Order: sequence, then C-alpha cells, then structure tokens
Amino acid sequence: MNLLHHAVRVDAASEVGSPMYAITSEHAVALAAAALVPLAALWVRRRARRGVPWASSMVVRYRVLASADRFVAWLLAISSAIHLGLVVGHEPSFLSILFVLDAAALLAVAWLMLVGRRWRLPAAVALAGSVLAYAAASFGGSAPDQVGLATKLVELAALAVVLTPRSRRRLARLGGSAAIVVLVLVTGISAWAGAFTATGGDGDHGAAPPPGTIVRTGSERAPTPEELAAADRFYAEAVAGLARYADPDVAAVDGYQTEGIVGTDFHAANPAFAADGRVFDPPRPETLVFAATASGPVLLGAVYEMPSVGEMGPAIGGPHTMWHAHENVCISLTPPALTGLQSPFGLCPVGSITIPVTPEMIHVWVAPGAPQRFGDLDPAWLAAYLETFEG
Amino acid sequence: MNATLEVDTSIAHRLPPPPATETGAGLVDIARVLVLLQGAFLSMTTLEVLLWALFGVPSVGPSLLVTGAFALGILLLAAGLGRRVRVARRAAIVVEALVLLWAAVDLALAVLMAHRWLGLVATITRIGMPVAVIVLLRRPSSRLAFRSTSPEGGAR
Repeated sequence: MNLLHHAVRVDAASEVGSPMYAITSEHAVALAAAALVPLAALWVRRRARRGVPWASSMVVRYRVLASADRFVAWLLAISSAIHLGLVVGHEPSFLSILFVLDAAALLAVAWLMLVGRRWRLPAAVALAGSVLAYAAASFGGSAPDQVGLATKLVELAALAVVLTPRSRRRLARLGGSAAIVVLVLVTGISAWAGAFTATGGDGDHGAAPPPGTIVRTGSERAPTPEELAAADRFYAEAVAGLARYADPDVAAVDGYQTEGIVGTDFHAANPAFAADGRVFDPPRPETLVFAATASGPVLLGAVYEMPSVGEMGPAIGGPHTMWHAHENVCISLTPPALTGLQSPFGLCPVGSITIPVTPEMIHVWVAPGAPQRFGDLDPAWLAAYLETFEG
Repeated sequence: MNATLEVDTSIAHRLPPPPATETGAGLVDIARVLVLLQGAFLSMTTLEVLLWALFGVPSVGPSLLVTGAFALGILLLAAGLGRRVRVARRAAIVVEALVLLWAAVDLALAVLMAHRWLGLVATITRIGMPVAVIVLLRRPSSRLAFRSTSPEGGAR
C-alpha cells in the first residue's frame, strides 16, 4: 500500500506543541511591554533635553550610576514592564495581584537605585523572590513559556550583578556565583517539571503535549466505523508483515540498523526505506522498535514516517491514528546520536545540532496483547510484558 | 549619601562620562555575569544529558563529557574575567565567537527546515548574550580594565 498521494501539507495552525518552546497568546502583550522600555527611556531623555525637571533629574541620577548598576536598572525596568504586561494579558485573578506586586517591587528597587539609597539587599530579595516564585509555580504544574523563561533570564542576570561583591574577595564572589548557578538549575528543573506536568492539563495554559512533541489539533471526535475498519485492516497487514522482523538479524539483512540494541525503546532505522518514497506501507516501516531483554531483543512495534517536514501523514483511522512530529530535538554529530531535547535555556549539548522539527510519524505496536495499537504504549503494560522475557 | 543628586538637572545631557577605568571595570563585570550565566545554562544541559544517559541512552556518553567540560571551562572563564586575567578576555571572545557560529548553523536549520527563527530564549542565550560579551570585552575601556593592577599582584 502506498499512501503518498494522500499526503497533504500541514497547516501550522492545526498543530500544537509544548508551551515551553512557544509564546502563549496571553504573554504577547508582556513582550510588547518589554519592547516599550527603550522607547520610554528615549522619551525621558528627550524630555530631559527640553529641560523638564523630573526627566532631567532622572537622567542625572541614571548617569551617576556605575555601568553594571545601569545594566541592572535596565533589567529591572524590563522585568517590571513584562509583569505589568502579564496583568493585561491574563484574566483578572490572584495571579494578577502577584504580577502587580512583583512589578511594583522591581520598580521600587529601580527607584532606590536612582535616588542613591541602599538598593542591593532589596534588589536581591525582589529578584530572588521573583525567580523562586516562578519556579514554585512551575513545580506546581504551570507550564513555562518563552516569555516567562526570558523574564527569568533577565532577572537572573540582574541578580548575578547584585550578588557580585564590590570588593574582590574571592570567597564572596564564589558564593555569589554559586548562588546564581543553583538558581539557574532550580529554574531549569522547575521548567521541565512544569512542562511535563502541564501535559496532564493541570497547568494554567491547559493540557499540552509533552516537550518536544507536536500533535495535530482536532482529535477529540470519535472515529467513524469506516475509519476503524481501515485502521483494523492496516494493523492486520502490519502485524503480518512485521512478524519476520522479530529476528533482528532478518531486519538487519533488510537494512535496519539493529547493532547494539539497548534499553526498552531502541529505534532501529532503515535509511533505505526512509528514502524509498513509500508512505505508511505496512510491511516496510521506516523504523523498528525493539526492547533489550534477558532473552534477547524483543520486537515491540514500528514507526512509520513521512518523507519530509510539513507533510501530513494519512490518518486512515481518523483520530484513532493521529500522527505527531517532534521539535527542538538535539542530535550529536560525533557520534551521531539523539542527545535529548533543547533545554529551557535554548541550548543543546555541546556538539549537538538542533533539529527544529521532524517529519510526521506514527507508532504502531505489534507486540501481542498491546493495549494500544497506534500512538503511545502504556508503560505499565510494557514493563509487565517485558518481565515475561526476564525469567 | 549621593551628593551628585543635587547638581543642576538642566545640564543632564551635558554631564561628562565617568572615568574610563570605572566604565571598563563595569563593562567587564557585566561580561563576567553573562559568561557566568552561560556556564550555569551549560551546567543545566549537562544535568539533562546525564539524566538522558541514565534513562537508557548510553550513547550520549561523549556528549555528556564534552558538555560537562565546556560548562566547567566557561565557569572558570567567568572567574578569570572577574580576576581580570588577560587570557580569559581573549578566550571568552573566541568561545563566544564559536557559540555564535554554532547558533548560525542551528538558525540555518530552523529557517530551512521549519521556516522559522530560533525561539526567543535561544535568541537571547545563543545570539544576544555572545554578541553582548564580545562587544563588551572588545571596548577600549574594557581592555584598560585588564591592564590595571589587580589585588592579586598585577594584570596577567
């Protein structure tokens, strides 16, 4: 069966990925507010040049600050503007009050700087409080997004300056630097926690796919009888066609890369099948999935992939056979291997490139008794199934 | 505390710039903070690769070692900038240039494969911060800061 002619381009609006890699709609206003900060500064400077007393006073006070302190002033203004923008973007709630308080605290610190009062301790408290509050919200199941994470970068940079002692005492510097590293790690870990917890729908921004996965929207309806019948036919053909690949040596002869099967989710790709132009062909999947057990490799299923990015896979079973893609995947070049997903701070491991998006794909599970035939396999069932091969 | 606040505010735009040595030290301190953050971000990435390896992808071993080594190296670089070690300034510029080069590869992939720019955070951490560090450290006043005597007994 070759279903290439069924392939259509994916409409970006019909896809949804993890908020961690996106800017959620309610945060767009906050981003615009941040962009207004330089414009506001220019406006104040122009007023100062025209001799407006309050503007002149502000400019004078800004100019007597040290370079690093000016940098902090900018970061405080940007973070404060973002928090005010968040109030506008969100429905009024308790969170809105917290955003206002955060913005007010950061502005108050900036004011303390400009009037020459002691500001470092209040700044450290306000900035660390804001960073830790975000981490707590993420641990609580709120999905982080790019605006939220960028705001934390701004605050962490400001905090790093604040925690830099003015003297060159090594121990004090080391302590400040260690605190920043710890706060960055807390922010990063909490971001991952929030992104994965939000997949259950407990986050502020509703249910979302796990980080790195893009799914199509519109899978809520029930499949029609015709779609179910088509899915049954395909599945039967796949089970029959893949039976011979239960032996990895046979799979290797056909071009699957089965060397060194490890773990319970080993993907053995077949570059020749990936380039043969055949789409969703039951006996010729682009990848086989094996698990390593004490009794040897066990064939679990297969992955069928579209030939290129942006082409929609044929959902022959309707919502029963939903395809997905991956985004921000890290691939190392030496040696070629999957090294993870892009971190909340936008980085892949050193030596890895970031694949922004993959072609669409779908898993088909042919292991006898698998509770899911398409999509994600129940991990509890998988563990129990593999247990039978350990004795 | 700050007597300069009493100056005639009508001359705000004509105030002289602060001394170059102070400015340079301040710029180097900002660069140091940005490099420190980059080291912390890479420490986070090291942790992620470590978890990836523990959860059944042992082939990431080389990535783990290289990323961990880079994280440590960049944190040491930040410390070197803080102590005004001259070689740290040059090394930081080279490292940031490499970071930019690698970001260009990923940006090309993003544009060609997905017709999109890097994400907001990646744009800041992989383009904005390296550019800022290079610009800050290449300023003449910053170079001056590395020539001045350090508490440890002179510039290196």
